[in-house]
Amino acid sequence: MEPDPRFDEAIHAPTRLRICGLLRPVDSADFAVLRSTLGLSEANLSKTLRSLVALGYVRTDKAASPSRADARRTTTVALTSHGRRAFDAHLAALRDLANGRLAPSVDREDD
Amino acid sequence: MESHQSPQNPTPDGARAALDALNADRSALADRIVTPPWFYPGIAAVTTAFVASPAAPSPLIQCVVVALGSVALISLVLAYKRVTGLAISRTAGPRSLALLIVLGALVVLLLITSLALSLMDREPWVAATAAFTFVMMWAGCLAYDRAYDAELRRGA
Repeated sequence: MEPDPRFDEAIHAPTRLRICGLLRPVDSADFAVLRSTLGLSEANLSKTLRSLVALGYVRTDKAASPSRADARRTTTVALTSHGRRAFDAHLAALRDLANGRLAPSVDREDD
Repeated sequence: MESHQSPQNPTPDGARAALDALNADRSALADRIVTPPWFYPGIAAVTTAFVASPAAPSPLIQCVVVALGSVALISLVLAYKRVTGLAISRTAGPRSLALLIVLGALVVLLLITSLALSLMDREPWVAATAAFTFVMMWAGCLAYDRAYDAELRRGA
Protein backbone atom coordinates (compact mmCIF):
# COMPACT_ATOMS: atom_id res chain seq x y z
CA MET A 1 0.00 0.00 0.00
CA GLU A 2 1.32 3.45 -0.92
CA PRO A 3 1.94 5.67 2.11
CA ASP A 4 0.20 9.04 2.45
CA PRO A 5 2.54 11.77 1.19
CA ARG A 6 3.88 13.83 4.08
CA PHE A 7 6.78 16.23 3.65
CA ASP A 8 9.02 15.88 6.69
CA GLU A 9 11.51 18.71 7.16
CA ALA A 10 13.36 16.71 9.80
CA ILE A 11 14.73 14.31 7.20
CA HIS A 12 14.71 16.51 4.10
CA ALA A 13 18.22 17.82 4.80
CA PRO A 14 20.40 16.12 2.15
CA THR A 15 22.62 14.05 4.43
CA ARG A 16 19.75 12.89 6.63
CA LEU A 17 17.67 11.97 3.60
CA ARG A 18 20.52 10.03 1.95
CA ILE A 19 21.20 8.07 5.14
CA CYS A 20 17.53 7.13 5.48
CA GLY A 21 17.38 6.27 1.77
CA LEU A 22 20.34 3.94 2.06
CA LEU A 23 19.02 2.25 5.19
CA ARG A 24 15.49 1.78 3.82
CA PRO A 25 16.10 -1.36 1.68
CA VAL A 26 18.28 -3.11 4.31
CA ASP A 27 17.78 -4.26 7.89
CA SER A 28 21.00 -2.65 9.06
CA ALA A 29 24.33 -1.40 7.77
CA ASP A 30 27.72 -1.02 9.39
CA PHE A 31 28.85 2.56 10.04
CA ALA A 32 31.82 2.02 7.70
CA VAL A 33 29.54 0.88 4.87
CA LEU A 34 27.36 3.99 5.24
CA ARG A 35 30.40 6.26 5.33
CA SER A 36 32.05 4.83 2.24
CA THR A 37 28.87 4.40 0.19
CA LEU A 38 27.70 7.96 0.91
CA GLY A 39 31.22 9.44 0.72
CA LEU A 40 30.84 11.25 4.05
CA SER A 41 33.40 12.09 6.67
CA GLU A 42 33.28 10.18 9.94
CA ALA A 43 32.48 13.35 11.88
CA ASN A 44 29.67 14.39 9.54
CA LEU A 45 28.09 10.95 9.56
CA SER A 46 28.36 10.64 13.36
CA LYS A 47 26.76 14.04 13.89
CA THR A 48 23.93 13.39 11.47
CA LEU A 49 23.28 9.95 12.97
CA ARG A 50 23.04 11.49 16.43
CA SER A 51 20.38 13.88 15.10
CA LEU A 52 18.43 11.02 13.52
CA VAL A 53 18.69 8.95 16.72
CA ALA A 54 17.39 11.93 18.73
CA LEU A 55 14.44 12.15 16.33
CA GLY A 56 13.72 8.44 16.85
CA TYR A 57 14.25 7.67 13.14
CA VAL A 58 17.44 5.63 13.52
CA ARG A 59 18.92 3.33 16.12
CA THR A 60 22.55 2.34 16.53
CA ASP A 61 24.07 -0.73 18.16
CA LYS A 62 27.69 -1.25 19.11
CA ALA A 63 29.17 -4.71 19.26
CA ALA A 64 32.61 -6.26 19.49
CA SER A 65 33.78 -7.38 16.07
CA PRO A 66 35.92 -10.47 15.51
CA SER A 67 37.05 -8.93 12.22
CA ARG A 68 38.80 -6.06 14.05
CA ALA A 69 42.32 -6.41 15.41
CA ASP A 70 41.85 -3.56 17.91
CA ALA A 71 39.38 -3.26 20.78
CA ARG A 72 37.09 -0.82 18.95
CA ARG A 73 33.53 -1.94 18.44
CA THR A 74 31.57 -2.00 15.21
CA THR A 75 28.57 0.32 15.03
CA THR A 76 25.51 -1.00 13.24
CA VAL A 77 22.85 1.45 12.07
CA ALA A 78 19.21 0.72 11.25
CA LEU A 79 16.01 2.66 10.58
CA THR A 80 13.35 2.37 13.27
CA SER A 81 9.77 1.57 12.22
CA HIS A 82 8.96 5.25 12.93
CA GLY A 83 11.83 6.31 10.68
CA ARG A 84 10.73 3.90 7.95
CA ARG A 85 7.19 5.31 7.96
CA ALA A 86 8.46 8.90 7.96
CA PHE A 87 10.86 8.20 5.08
CA ASP A 88 8.21 6.42 2.98
CA ALA A 89 5.76 9.29 3.49
CA HIS A 90 8.45 11.85 2.69
CA LEU A 91 9.45 9.94 -0.45
CA ALA A 92 5.81 9.89 -1.59
CA ALA A 93 5.66 13.66 -0.99
CA LEU A 94 8.84 14.21 -3.03
CA ARG A 95 7.40 12.16 -5.91
CA ASP A 96 4.17 14.19 -5.79
CA LEU A 97 6.14 17.41 -5.76
CA ALA A 98 8.45 16.31 -8.58
CA ASN A 99 5.43 15.32 -10.67
CA GLY A 100 3.87 18.75 -10.19
CA ARG A 101 1.01 17.62 -8.00
CA LEU A 102 -0.33 19.72 -5.16
CA ALA A 103 2.12 20.91 -2.53
CA PRO A 104 2.20 18.33 0.27
CA SER A 105 1.65 19.03 3.95
CA VAL A 106 4.88 19.87 5.71
CA ASP A 107 6.01 18.47 9.07
CA ARG A 108 8.37 20.92 10.68
CA GLU A 109 11.13 19.65 12.94
CA ASP A 110 10.06 21.87 15.82
CA ASP A 111 6.41 20.74 15.71
CA MET B 1 29.56 19.66 9.28
CA GLU B 2 26.13 18.16 8.82
CA SER B 3 24.44 19.50 5.74
CA HIS B 4 21.09 20.56 7.16
CA GLN B 5 19.66 23.07 4.75
CA SER B 6 16.11 21.98 4.14
CA PRO B 7 14.17 24.54 2.15
CA GLN B 8 11.19 26.23 3.77
CA ASN B 9 9.28 25.98 0.48
CA PRO B 10 10.36 22.84 -1.37
CA THR B 11 10.19 23.14 -5.15
CA PRO B 12 9.61 20.51 -7.86
CA ASP B 13 13.23 20.96 -9.02
CA GLY B 14 14.47 20.47 -5.46
CA ALA B 15 12.32 17.34 -5.11
CA ARG B 16 13.69 15.92 -8.38
CA ALA B 17 17.27 16.62 -7.26
CA ALA B 18 16.60 14.84 -3.96
CA LEU B 19 15.10 11.83 -5.78
CA ASP B 20 18.07 11.72 -8.18
CA ALA B 21 20.47 11.70 -5.22
CA LEU B 22 18.52 8.85 -3.60
CA ASN B 23 18.59 6.85 -6.84
CA ALA B 24 22.34 7.38 -7.20
CA ASP B 25 22.87 6.15 -3.64
CA ARG B 26 20.75 3.05 -4.25
CA SER B 27 22.83 2.26 -7.34
CA ALA B 28 25.98 2.68 -5.23
CA LEU B 29 24.46 0.32 -2.66
CA ALA B 30 23.63 -2.22 -5.40
CA ASP B 31 27.25 -2.02 -6.59
CA ARG B 32 28.37 -2.73 -3.06
CA ILE B 33 26.09 -5.75 -2.51
CA VAL B 34 28.22 -8.49 -4.00
CA THR B 35 27.02 -11.81 -2.62
CA PRO B 36 29.96 -14.00 -1.56
CA PRO B 37 30.33 -16.95 -3.98
CA TRP B 38 29.81 -19.51 -1.20
CA PHE B 39 26.55 -18.02 0.08
CA TYR B 40 23.96 -19.42 -2.34
CA PRO B 41 25.56 -22.90 -2.64
CA GLY B 42 25.55 -22.91 1.18
CA ILE B 43 21.85 -22.00 1.33
CA ALA B 44 21.12 -24.68 -1.31
CA ALA B 45 23.11 -27.31 0.66
CA VAL B 46 21.27 -26.55 3.91
CA THR B 47 17.88 -26.69 2.17
CA THR B 48 18.91 -29.99 0.58
CA ALA B 49 19.76 -31.39 4.03
CA PHE B 50 16.31 -30.38 5.31
CA VAL B 51 14.57 -32.01 2.32
CA ALA B 52 16.65 -35.19 2.59
CA SER B 53 16.22 -35.48 6.38
CA PRO B 54 13.07 -37.72 6.27
CA ALA B 55 15.27 -40.46 4.75
CA ALA B 56 17.51 -40.50 7.85
CA PRO B 57 17.78 -44.00 9.38
CA SER B 58 16.34 -42.87 12.72
CA PRO B 59 14.33 -39.94 14.13
CA LEU B 60 17.32 -39.00 16.28
CA ILE B 61 19.58 -38.64 13.25
CA GLN B 62 16.83 -36.66 11.48
CA CYS B 63 16.70 -34.26 14.45
CA VAL B 64 20.49 -33.90 14.39
CA VAL B 65 20.44 -33.12 10.63
CA VAL B 66 17.73 -30.47 11.11
CA ALA B 67 19.54 -28.95 14.11
CA LEU B 68 22.90 -28.83 12.31
CA GLY B 69 21.16 -27.37 9.23
CA SER B 70 19.61 -24.64 11.36
CA VAL B 71 22.97 -23.78 12.92
CA ALA B 72 24.57 -23.73 9.45
CA LEU B 73 21.81 -21.42 8.15
CA ILE B 74 22.31 -18.94 11.01
CA SER B 75 26.09 -19.12 10.52
CA LEU B 76 25.71 -18.36 6.80
CA VAL B 77 23.57 -15.29 7.51
CA LEU B 78 26.01 -14.01 10.16
CA ALA B 79 28.99 -14.61 7.86
CA TYR B 80 27.21 -12.70 5.06
CA LYS B 81 26.70 -9.75 7.43
CA ARG B 82 30.32 -9.83 8.57
CA VAL B 83 31.66 -9.91 4.99
CA THR B 84 29.34 -7.30 3.44
CA GLY B 85 28.60 -5.08 6.47
CA LEU B 86 24.91 -5.31 5.59
CA ALA B 87 21.99 -7.28 6.99
CA ILE B 88 19.29 -7.78 4.36
CA SER B 89 16.05 -9.69 4.76
CA ARG B 90 13.75 -7.32 2.88
CA THR B 91 12.84 -7.74 -0.75
CA ALA B 92 13.52 -4.76 -3.04
CA GLY B 93 10.26 -4.89 -5.01
CA PRO B 94 7.38 -7.03 -6.29
CA ARG B 95 9.50 -9.30 -8.52
CA SER B 96 11.97 -10.29 -5.82
CA LEU B 97 9.05 -10.77 -3.39
CA ALA B 98 7.24 -13.04 -5.88
CA LEU B 99 10.41 -15.09 -6.43
CA LEU B 100 10.90 -15.50 -2.69
CA ILE B 101 7.30 -16.69 -2.23
CA VAL B 102 7.61 -19.16 -5.12
CA LEU B 103 10.91 -20.53 -3.76
CA GLY B 104 9.41 -20.91 -0.28
CA ALA B 105 6.33 -22.70 -1.65
CA LEU B 106 8.53 -25.04 -3.74
CA VAL B 107 10.66 -25.94 -0.72
CA VAL B 108 7.53 -26.81 1.30
CA LEU B 109 6.26 -28.91 -1.63
CA LEU B 110 9.60 -30.74 -1.92
CA LEU B 111 9.66 -31.38 1.84
CA ILE B 112 6.17 -32.93 1.66
CA THR B 113 7.22 -34.98 -1.37
CA SER B 114 10.35 -36.21 0.38
CA LEU B 115 8.37 -37.14 3.49
CA ALA B 116 5.78 -39.06 1.42
CA LEU B 117 8.50 -40.91 -0.53
CA SER B 118 10.29 -41.79 2.69
CA LEU B 119 7.08 -43.20 4.19
CA MET B 120 6.75 -45.36 1.05
CA ASP B 121 10.38 -46.57 1.50
CA ARG B 122 11.50 -44.99 -1.78
CA GLU B 123 14.87 -43.72 -0.54
CA PRO B 124 16.45 -43.43 -4.04
CA TRP B 125 13.63 -41.05 -4.97
CA VAL B 126 14.23 -39.04 -1.81
CA ALA B 127 17.85 -38.68 -2.94
CA ALA B 128 16.66 -37.55 -6.38
CA THR B 129 14.29 -35.03 -4.76
CA ALA B 130 17.15 -33.72 -2.62
CA ALA B 131 19.43 -33.39 -5.66
CA PHE B 132 16.69 -31.49 -7.49
CA THR B 133 16.30 -29.24 -4.41
CA PHE B 134 19.99 -28.30 -4.49
CA VAL B 135 19.91 -27.30 -8.17
CA MET B 136 16.56 -25.49 -7.84
CA MET B 137 17.65 -23.53 -4.77
CA TRP B 138 20.97 -22.47 -6.25
CA ALA B 139 19.34 -21.36 -9.51
CA GLY B 140 16.41 -19.76 -7.66
CA CYS B 141 18.71 -17.82 -5.35
CA LEU B 142 20.73 -16.53 -8.32
CA ALA B 143 17.49 -15.41 -10.02
CA TYR B 144 16.43 -13.70 -6.78
CA ASP B 145 19.81 -11.97 -6.59
CA ARG B 146 19.42 -10.57 -10.10
CA ALA B 147 15.82 -9.44 -9.45
CA TYR B 148 16.85 -7.79 -6.16
CA ASP B 149 19.74 -5.97 -7.84
CA ALA B 150 17.55 -4.71 -10.70
CA GLU B 151 14.80 -3.51 -8.35
CA LEU B 152 17.29 -1.84 -6.04
CA ARG B 153 18.81 0.05 -8.97
CA ARG B 154 15.36 1.07 -10.25
CA GLY B 155 15.27 3.11 -7.07
CA ALA B 156 13.04 5.70 -5.49
